[in-house]
Amino acid sequence: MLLELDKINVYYEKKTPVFGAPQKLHALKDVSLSVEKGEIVTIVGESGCGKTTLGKVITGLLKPASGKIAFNGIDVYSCMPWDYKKYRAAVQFVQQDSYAALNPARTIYQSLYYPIRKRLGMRRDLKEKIGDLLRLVELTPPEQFLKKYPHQLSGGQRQRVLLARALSMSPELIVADEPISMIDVSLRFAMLELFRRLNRELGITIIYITHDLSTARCVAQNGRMYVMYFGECVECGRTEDILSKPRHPYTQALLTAVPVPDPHIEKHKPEPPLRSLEAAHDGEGCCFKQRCLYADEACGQGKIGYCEEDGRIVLCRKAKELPQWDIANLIK
Amino acid sequence: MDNVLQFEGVSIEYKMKDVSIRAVDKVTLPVVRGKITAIVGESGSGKTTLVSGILRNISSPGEMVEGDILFRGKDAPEVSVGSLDKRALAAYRWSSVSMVFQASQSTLNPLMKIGEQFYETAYYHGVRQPYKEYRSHIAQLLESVRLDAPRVMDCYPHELSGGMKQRVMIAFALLLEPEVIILDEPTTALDVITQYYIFRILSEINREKGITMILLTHDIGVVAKFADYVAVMYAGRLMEYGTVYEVFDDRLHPYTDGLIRATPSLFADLSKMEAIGGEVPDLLALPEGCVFAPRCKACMEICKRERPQMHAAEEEHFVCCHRFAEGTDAAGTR
Repeated sequence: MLLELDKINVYYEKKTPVFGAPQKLHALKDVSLSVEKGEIVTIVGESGCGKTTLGKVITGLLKPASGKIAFNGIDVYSCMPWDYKKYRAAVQFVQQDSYAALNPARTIYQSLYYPIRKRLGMRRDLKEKIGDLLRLVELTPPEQFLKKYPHQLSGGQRQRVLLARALSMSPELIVADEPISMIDVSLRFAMLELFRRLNRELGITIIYITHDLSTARCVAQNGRMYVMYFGECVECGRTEDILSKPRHPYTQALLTAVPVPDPHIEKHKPEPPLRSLEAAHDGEGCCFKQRCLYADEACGQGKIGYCEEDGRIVLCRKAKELPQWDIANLIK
Repeated sequence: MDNVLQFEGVSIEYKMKDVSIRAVDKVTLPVVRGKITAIVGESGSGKTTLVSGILRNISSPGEMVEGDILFRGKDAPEVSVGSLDKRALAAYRWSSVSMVFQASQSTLNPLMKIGEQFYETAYYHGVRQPYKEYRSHIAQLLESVRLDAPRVMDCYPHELSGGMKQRVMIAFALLLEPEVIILDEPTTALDVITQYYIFRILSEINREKGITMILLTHDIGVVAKFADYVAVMYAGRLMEYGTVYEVFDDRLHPYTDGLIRATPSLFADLSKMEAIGGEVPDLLALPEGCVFAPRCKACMEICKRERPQMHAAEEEHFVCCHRFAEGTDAAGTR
């Protein structure tokens, strides 16, 4: 097991009121996640469901309030400092907003050389090393890019620079947070291909965070998927299984709502099985109870347990009783 | 053909000190009455600039240098939008054509309650009913977009969620019962499920009230779901136009084909997906012939020299490609 997260909890403090205790927002609730070496895992969910927070916890940018993170079997928050250093280098983050993530006053060369010199202690052959990295992310010829500033590059090229920066640490795991959301549509697929290639050829494990189920399918067809909702992981399993036979009512609704680029399917699709339009959760019981068609009294009380069945984990009391749902339902 | 709007060879240029950028280049495009026309294009393809010509609010230093936009209201003579004088323009804006702007969440005035903002606009368009009486009309509009009208009307914008604000903006666009609504990326930054409901509400409005809609988007899935007609733009030029079924099933332009094939889908065969190579064009250094030629897989010699013309494939299906003119359509490359 490359990475294991056990019952991670994260709270954010809301704006502190003048009187009284500060209000807390439970951003991640008992999230457990495990990643095998060489896998591609996707984390999907809507905005505000905690998927970026989870990415930050995995990369060590955010320390959880409780829970354990083990990397290669070593607990990263109670290990020796050199082990922690190793973990921080081996797990890299590719941010969503490539413009904000690069220093506008530095050229691409300057942005890339600093971590290499500092962390790897390389003093010579830096240009060759950086050239190799840029070639790896398909920015060719590298000489053309080294002297440029971030604003002179397109969104796709900047995103590739970020990826090159992550790769400069020879990471074992890359966490990519919506890397294609700010790229032009015609260039998105090439970026997804690049992630798949890195995984295939260099054996780098990838955690891909996205809100788009179709993209998730595209990156991690043979990988696994975690579906998040209101800070909880509601369903996890193999990507193809979840996308063809989702068990959790939320996943089913989400799948129905995703627009498919085919008018023959799209114009005749059924409605998402939902009771209410607004996403809301009062913190008690099941996070999906207010929108769920199948929810009853008991769903609103106590803690909902996970239901496990042949590699599929579903956070639903009724996972076994619910009617079977198939993606073929969408094609009439 | 009953067209409510007609672009006739429209070109829009942004004139800077020593260069001028042609954001829209000779676009001729009909907008069919009562239907939903989607204009698809990446950022920088000129779709927002093109439609801002309809409301004549092209941001400075942009200017319409060529062509004309014709508007034909119901039971009214055809007028050229460019020739409207100040008063006629004020009357035409919002009451004939209204718009849901991109990032429209931030277009609401944070200091005014929702209901008051509605009334303000109505007042300047000649409504003289007192606010108390007019409220029932506003409530009706808010209910038509599935909002809890009595509550929302007395809310300030910050009290509403993103999806609610977007629906408020749609209700706002309906305020003066326009004939055309322009929707500029109405669901970016919204959740998939919220997006689904917003498009359902919009389809209902389109069907029940017969309001023509123009949708600007880069999301192919949304086009397939919502549009009746599709216009594909690239680097300021119109590449292909047709009904949604024609464009998806029988796509004639290599760019349309590439775009659809590069879009991740829940159903499509992943092995058949393919990326479009190359980079997005630089509007300051456009190639001489066809703008898509440097990225086109089916590029021929003539494509690099001569600019292709619009050719009609079917009655309502047009394509701007040399391949089609020569009889070998883009499908040959598939």
